[in-house]
Amino acid sequence: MIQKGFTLVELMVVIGILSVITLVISQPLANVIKYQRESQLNDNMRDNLQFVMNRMEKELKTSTDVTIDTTITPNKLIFTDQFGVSTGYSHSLNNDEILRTSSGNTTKLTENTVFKVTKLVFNERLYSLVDSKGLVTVSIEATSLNNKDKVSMQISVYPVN
Amino acid sequence: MKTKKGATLVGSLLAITILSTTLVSALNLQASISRSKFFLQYDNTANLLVAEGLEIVRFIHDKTKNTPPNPPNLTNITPGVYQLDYNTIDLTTGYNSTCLTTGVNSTCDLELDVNGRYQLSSNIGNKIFYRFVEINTSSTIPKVTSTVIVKNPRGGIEKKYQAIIQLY
Repeated sequence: MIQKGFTLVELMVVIGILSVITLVISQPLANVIKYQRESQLNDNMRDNLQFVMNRMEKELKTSTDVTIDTTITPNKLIFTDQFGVSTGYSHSLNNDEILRTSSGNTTKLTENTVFKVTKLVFNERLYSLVDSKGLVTVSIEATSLNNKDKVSMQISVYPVN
Repeated sequence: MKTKKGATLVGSLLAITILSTTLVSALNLQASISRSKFFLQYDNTANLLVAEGLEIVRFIHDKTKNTPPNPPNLTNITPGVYQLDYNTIDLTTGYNSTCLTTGVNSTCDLELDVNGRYQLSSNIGNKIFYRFVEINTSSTIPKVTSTVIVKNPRGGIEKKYQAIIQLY
């Protein structure tokens, strides 16, 4: 009598092969899912930082009397904005955030529930010793909440006024 | 008639082809994601560094254009390709770069200092960011091209970011 169907050995072999294939393919697919989850968080951090940088650039470009207060650590950038209001940017070391102070009001430019700002450094490069207005450089370093992703961004602005 | 046992040659080949294609696709997908992830994380920084390159040249230009005796001249800006960082205040001497868009090298690489600032590197080694500006004065209005190249130290794949302004 001719037997139909698969033998137990054949089934075991097929299941074994399929398991190996699934294992091999599942790793890249798991990475894809993990990457998507992480990249969404990191994209938020980068976009947020770029927004802050663009805002600073825009504000500094039209500002006057830019000075860097190096008497405090971390240093603070103080300037007069286009409306004549004394404004400042500083780094809150306790909260890992960037703060903006204007007319006595302090607002957060970044949120430590999204990412942590680990460094905010201001630098002014004068063209010569007698120069009164120089190139202002702002450097920011931030890390994601899980400390896996680190971003460093930098802008240099020469105020037009 | 004797019953045939086992798989046919065509059947085996088909199975091997399908399995190989699946495996190659999965591995390609992972490699492609790794590549795009590398460049994606530096996209924003590279764009800001391109803009910074233009701003530094504009700063030097604005500081020197009204210098007597022949304003507006380009006293401290002469045509050429230069490496530069935020500390650069002169584009006539000392900063000439051998960097070209066809191949970056250690004369134009940037690195983070201890304060988290991007500046010209002080040591030799694989870097991620390379920047140079090209100043062209062939027309009456000087043209500045800022280029940043992000290079993956592992594998050497590059991505180029570029922007152009005219100096008035």
